[in-house]
Amino acid sequence: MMTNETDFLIKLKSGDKQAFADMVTVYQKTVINICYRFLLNKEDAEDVSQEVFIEAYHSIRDFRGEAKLGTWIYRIAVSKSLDEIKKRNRKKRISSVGKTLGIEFISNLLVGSERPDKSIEEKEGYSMLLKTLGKLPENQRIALTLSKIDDYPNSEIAEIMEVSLTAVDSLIYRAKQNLKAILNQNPPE
Amino acid sequence: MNILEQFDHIETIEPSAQWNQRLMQRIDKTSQHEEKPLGRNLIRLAVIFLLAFNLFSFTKSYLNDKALQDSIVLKNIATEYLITTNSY
Repeated sequence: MMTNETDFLIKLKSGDKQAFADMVTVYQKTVINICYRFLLNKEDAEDVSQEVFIEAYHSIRDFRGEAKLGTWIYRIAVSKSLDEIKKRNRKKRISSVGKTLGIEFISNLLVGSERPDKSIEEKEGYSMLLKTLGKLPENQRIALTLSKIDDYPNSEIAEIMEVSLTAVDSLIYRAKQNLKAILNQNPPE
Repeated sequence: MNILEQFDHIETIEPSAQWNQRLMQRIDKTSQHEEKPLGRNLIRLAVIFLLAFNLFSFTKSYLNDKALQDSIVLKNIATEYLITTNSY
């Protein structure tokens, strides 16, 4: 499939649909799981992961090959996931203003319906997890989240974040310390 | 289970059966949008032309009105001081 990345890139840049389909097959699972780790919602992860490949499809001509193709795609995945989180936070703010003003339908419209496939306990657990992670500085959150993806080495995380390996180790360590501190201050009920 | 343990135990997910199909549909949709830049540019040009034309008409009529009003004021002053066009 991807025997020679340079040849493969040439095909991709020329708009070869089969090459694009091969690229999707290779990276799809990791991309979806990166998005899922950030968003903790399967539907959102599927939607955002598609946006990742749409962006890759349209901007592959600008890819200069300085990083590995996978690293470039995972970078887009992280960036799109963070954008989605920011979008959610904006919606929440608007929704809470709507609630304060007594305009409930605005909040329902913006926040949407709850996931029917998850138990209440799980939903509450994830919302607590998301809330706690949201308190971390962005680079610590990225490093920690990527480190939790199965078999994902810190060297890859360093490439995605464009920082040194030592910096990644330090970010993950500090993220864990901060999480512990946050949890000690506000223990889950 | 604390938050970190919970984070460790998040399951790995698989893309749904329709994921690939939906992706290709979305790509086709976005490509179609990209393939029509001429139409969009024409619309943009038309809007810019209309705005410029409106601005031009407004400025022209404003300047005409102002010139007319100035002329009326001058005529009034002339009448007040009994200066007629025949005075000279």
